[in-house]
Amino acid sequence: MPITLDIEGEFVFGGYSQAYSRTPVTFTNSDGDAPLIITFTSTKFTADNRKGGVNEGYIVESRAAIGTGTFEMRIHYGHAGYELWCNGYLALTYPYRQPNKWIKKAEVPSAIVLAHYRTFQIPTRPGFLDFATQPLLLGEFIHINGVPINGGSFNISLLDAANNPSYTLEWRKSERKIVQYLNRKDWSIYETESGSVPLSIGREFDIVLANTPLAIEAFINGELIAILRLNAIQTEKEYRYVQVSGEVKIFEQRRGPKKIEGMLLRVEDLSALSGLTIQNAFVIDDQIIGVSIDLDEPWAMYSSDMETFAVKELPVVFEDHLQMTTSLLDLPIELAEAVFQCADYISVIALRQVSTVTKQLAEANVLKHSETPFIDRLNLCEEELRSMMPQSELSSFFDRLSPLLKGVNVNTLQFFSVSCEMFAIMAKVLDGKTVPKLEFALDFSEELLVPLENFIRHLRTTDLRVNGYSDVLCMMIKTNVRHKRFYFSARCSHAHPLYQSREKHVIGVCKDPNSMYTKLLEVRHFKMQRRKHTSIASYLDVLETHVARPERAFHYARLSGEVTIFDQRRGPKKIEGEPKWKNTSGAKK
Amino acid sequence: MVLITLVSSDEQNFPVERELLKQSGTIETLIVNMNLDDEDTDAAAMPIPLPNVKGDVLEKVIQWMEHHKGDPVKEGDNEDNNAEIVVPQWDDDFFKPAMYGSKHLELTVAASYLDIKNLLTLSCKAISNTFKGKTGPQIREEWGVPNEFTPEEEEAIRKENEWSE
Repeated sequence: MPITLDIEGEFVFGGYSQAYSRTPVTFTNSDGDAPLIITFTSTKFTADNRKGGVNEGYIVESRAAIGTGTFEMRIHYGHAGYELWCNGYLALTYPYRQPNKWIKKAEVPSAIVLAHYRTFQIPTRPGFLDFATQPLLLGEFIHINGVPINGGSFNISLLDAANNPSYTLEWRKSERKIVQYLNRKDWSIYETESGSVPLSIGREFDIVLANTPLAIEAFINGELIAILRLNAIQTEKEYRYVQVSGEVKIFEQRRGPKKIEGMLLRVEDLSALSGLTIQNAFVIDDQIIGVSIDLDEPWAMYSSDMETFAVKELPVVFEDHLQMTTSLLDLPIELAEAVFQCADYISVIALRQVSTVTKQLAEANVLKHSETPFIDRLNLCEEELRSMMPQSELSSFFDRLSPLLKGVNVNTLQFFSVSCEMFAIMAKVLDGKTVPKLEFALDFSEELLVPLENFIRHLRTTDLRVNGYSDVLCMMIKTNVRHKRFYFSARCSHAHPLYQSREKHVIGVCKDPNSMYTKLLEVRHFKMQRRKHTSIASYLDVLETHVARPERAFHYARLSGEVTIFDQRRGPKKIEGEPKWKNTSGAKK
Repeated sequence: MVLITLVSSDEQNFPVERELLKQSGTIETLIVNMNLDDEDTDAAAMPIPLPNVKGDVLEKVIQWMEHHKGDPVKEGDNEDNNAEIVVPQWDDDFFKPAMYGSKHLELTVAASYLDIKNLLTLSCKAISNTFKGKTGPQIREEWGVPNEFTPEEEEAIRKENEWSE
């Protein structure tokens, strides 16, 4: 989705242009025409204009190779036309081709990932800011954007009430250094020099002077230069005017904090705006939270208001356990398993309550512990059940169920015919338990399905298999607790001579065990067949799909690909004649 | 006494007695395969880089190996009942300063990487011992595990485990 931005005055925006997007950024005036259209290519960008819906075709190409990637572009109303400054340099001047040159809207395509934008008025007095009645407060800043011209040397001064410079930042181009001085009211003068000079003639700069308790911090293009570790005696009353003089052209000058539209994602921007050296930043609700390292102090955390960019230090309480940089869950899974295997039973139970991952790891270990709570529970149930089942059957049942609870690895009730009563027993005994694997036979009858459904609803197991022997189908039900989904699969246990199916077909997935009953009924009707004795069909995978109403699902058959068809027909049907491979020559085959 | 130099990921050198390194399956295999035991070859003087182990962790591992010099080295998979292992007093003290910290986890990972089975077992056991007597939320807090459960899920799990408490 393209983004439309309102523009009042000059405009600067930054972001990321994707390679070969060729989708233009369109700037329209109040008439709805587009006096400026910028199109990024892989190496440069071009400008054109559109009137009455038609591009004029007066295309001007940027001088320097811009390329794709991160960029910042400033559109300035120059004498000869729109001056497009890209990444600090004047890349293109596009003449005013329409009488109404004033841009009111910008439409930025989605191919441009917009990081930040700002619209602002051209200063009426470039190089001079007056805030005599409201001096620069702590935490506030001055932002000057411009470009050094001709010889290049210039200075920025913060003046006091008497118009005397209290603080000055001066670029001495011939000496290749930036000098800062502070004239204090106690007549002392302090000076520092910066060896790093991120300024050059013809290159746009952003200088931010931030009033902090310990110094006026100077950022040039987002980079903090050497600072005087001292500020005026009355830091909140001292600075009342800004004066920029020298060989410099000013595009923008402002006092902060001030609302800046759009998103600010770059820590450099946040650093420049906040006057801090932001190492990392993130957004929580309407606050930007930044982590900084300043003035050789330990790191601190600040919040910055999204609207005003007012900076506030956040109290951070250091505690020993905050030094934990690696979580228990950062262990490789095999090591985590090893740790859990070492844990005692009560710890394992506690680990089930820590997180979803530890719960799964712990559950694998629950059954390794033969603890009394299981047995007690079993005994409690036993009293109740004695009236329900004959003693011999009950005894046999518990013989099989007890080792299961104690954690015998082969948890099987296979070949044990389960009745409705036994479902009730198992549901009570195993209620809320995690049983890795439980397998038993089920005489497939509909009256067992409801108890089965109730049983499965109470049981937490990772692998439940029910082998229901019927004429056609064997049911295999697999529940997967991890994903909270229940998988059903079915296969023919007694292969009919003319009916075959794959051993496992996932034919239903449902999130709710309650819907299992319906699914089971559907499974009963599920039939898959595969033709025998055709050269290609014998090992062809049978369609594996989710079929709710198989009788109505298939209407046509189509075979495509590199294959020669010898015969095609609908079955099942008896195949006439004798198999072709019968030995007629007497030779051993 | 033959010394072999181990180089940690932050390029710290640790000259270690050859005998000690027999406890590490990884290094032992490397020494045998690279013929580092043969003093006549240039390979003998070759340091062994361990890019997955930091210097401070490696120092702890060497300290542990020095104390357990001469202990029988476990071979094959561990088939003991790990829940019943008792951590000896010296090892308990050895792990304690690093307890509840990422250092302990790093030590465990290093033991696994270097294939020092005894150290790995004791380290895992020492970690699991810290769970003793703690509730799920306490373990979560101490070991920096994020809580992914919704309040409803938490309540359900609590009820599920109620009977065991």
